[in-house]
Amino acid sequence: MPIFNIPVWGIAKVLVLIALGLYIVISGVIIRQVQLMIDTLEVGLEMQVKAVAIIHFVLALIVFLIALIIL
Amino acid sequence: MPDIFVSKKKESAPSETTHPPQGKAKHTLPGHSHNPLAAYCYHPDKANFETKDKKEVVVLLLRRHPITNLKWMLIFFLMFFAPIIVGDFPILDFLPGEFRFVSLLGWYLITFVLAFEGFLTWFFNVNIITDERVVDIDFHSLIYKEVSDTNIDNIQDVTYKMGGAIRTIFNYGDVLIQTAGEKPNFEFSAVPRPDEVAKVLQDIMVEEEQEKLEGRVR
Repeated sequence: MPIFNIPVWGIAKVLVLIALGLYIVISGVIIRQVQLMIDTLEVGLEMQVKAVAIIHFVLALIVFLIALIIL
Repeated sequence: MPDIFVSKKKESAPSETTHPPQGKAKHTLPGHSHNPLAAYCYHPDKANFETKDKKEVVVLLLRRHPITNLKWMLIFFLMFFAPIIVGDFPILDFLPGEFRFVSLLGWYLITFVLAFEGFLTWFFNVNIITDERVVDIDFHSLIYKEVSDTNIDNIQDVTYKMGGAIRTIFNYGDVLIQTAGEKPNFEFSAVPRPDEVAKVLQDIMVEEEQEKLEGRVR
């Protein structure tokens, strides 16, 4: 849907991909934060918490790839 | 001149507070829990922190009462079901189908990370009482960590307060520890059984005094 010859959805796609890219960076920071927390304190459940952080990172990557393919 | 009577030296038995029974007997202690999510754990099975000495015994591990998680849990549930509710309203109808799908995935990612962050903040913000000191571990945000501790000797006063209906019903409150150290006050916010926490601290302080008198200080 070009407005004044500007592809609006193309720009929207780029913006969405930038946002999702930033989100991947944040999810990487979360993994680092969890590692820092685990190093500071060990009370059990460390492996599970770290696994959740990694799964979250993988999900963010998958959503980025989906956006890249379908948009 | 030989002594006519020499009294036997009194050997004070170490108290149960700082020297818990080992083995199965430990698991019968009141307040002891095997649950790693417990907010109040007396002599936890596993509790290590960065600056812990090898000989140091963790007496009490405290977190905020689980009921304090209600806020982020409610937000999580509202956000989780929002797309289903909003789906009936034509708010995003101007978007093409694929954009709507990606925004839905993005929404659930944000929902998930908010809940995870809420859990991490609760799980890793702990207060630890050992036989030698009090440790306060705080993670204020994604990248800010604060760990402060004070020796039991430095504690001057322990106050606990419980106020309000919810705190009374769920038996949690704040424990304020005034110290002579660099950090003047320690506050254990919204911890379960604040009266018992204060009692444990008093016991450790008494024992520390006793150790000082007997010259058993580590």
